[in-house]
Amino acid sequence: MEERLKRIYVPMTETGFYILFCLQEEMHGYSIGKKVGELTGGEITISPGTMYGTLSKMEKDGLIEFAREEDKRRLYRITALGREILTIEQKRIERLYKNSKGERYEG
Amino acid sequence: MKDNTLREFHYFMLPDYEKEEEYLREMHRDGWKFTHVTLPGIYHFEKCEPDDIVYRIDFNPQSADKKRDYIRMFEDYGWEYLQDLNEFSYFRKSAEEADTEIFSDNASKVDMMRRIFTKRMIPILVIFLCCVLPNIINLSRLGIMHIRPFEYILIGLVYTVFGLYIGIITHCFVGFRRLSQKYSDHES
Repeated sequence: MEERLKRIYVPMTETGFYILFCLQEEMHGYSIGKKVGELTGGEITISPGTMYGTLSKMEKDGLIEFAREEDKRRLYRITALGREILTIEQKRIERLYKNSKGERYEG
Repeated sequence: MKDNTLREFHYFMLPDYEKEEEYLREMHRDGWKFTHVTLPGIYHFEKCEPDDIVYRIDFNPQSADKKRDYIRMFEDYGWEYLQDLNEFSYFRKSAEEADTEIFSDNASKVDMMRRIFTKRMIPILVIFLCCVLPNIINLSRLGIMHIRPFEYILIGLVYTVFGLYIGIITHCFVGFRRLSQKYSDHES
């Protein structure tokens, strides 16, 4: 993976993480926002300007790709590169989680 | 009929979009509903019941096919799309509804500010450096003795443009600086 992408996406913002996580299934912006609200018990909201901006950036950087259009809404899905970055993030979060509980992370 | 509409001239510069949002909200609170804005900054309103409506301005130039998706997404989120002017998009939503921000983190606010800077501020700087400044330098080399009366008007004009540019550029730099400080102060 390019160094530049690592610098931008590792570690990822919460918004970025949830969007990439949701796009393991094909989704459009608003449905991602709704799902994130449900997943986090309303703790995380992603407003439309932030959603649109993040999707555009991730598409440009090749983390996600355009899947199809439905009723004027663009649906996206994660790419192989996106998965690679998501996996790195998931491991980082797992380490953080274990350490925060006072446990040792073995990798 | 004439009394039901109102036109006001306001010039908001590049970093002043938050002031513009506040201005439109104030007008709506006073019973003037924004209908549209035209260049060089004529705001059109129609009389309405005073209401608390939040106005938001986004800057995110995109191709026509993406634009449909863009507007659709804002509508899904409960925003009414009003218009585009100079690729700035205008939206509004009742203040009583959920989530009256279009950006949920500071990083995306900074991104929008950067887009404005690259796509709008840099062209102004280029025009200034390539067209206005060389003219001023040429003029300052001119001997004052050989100037004919009508040339004074021309020279006066060039200096006015120069002064205007200096004013605008200074205002914009101060404004962008203030915004980026504000967005980083709020970082948690």
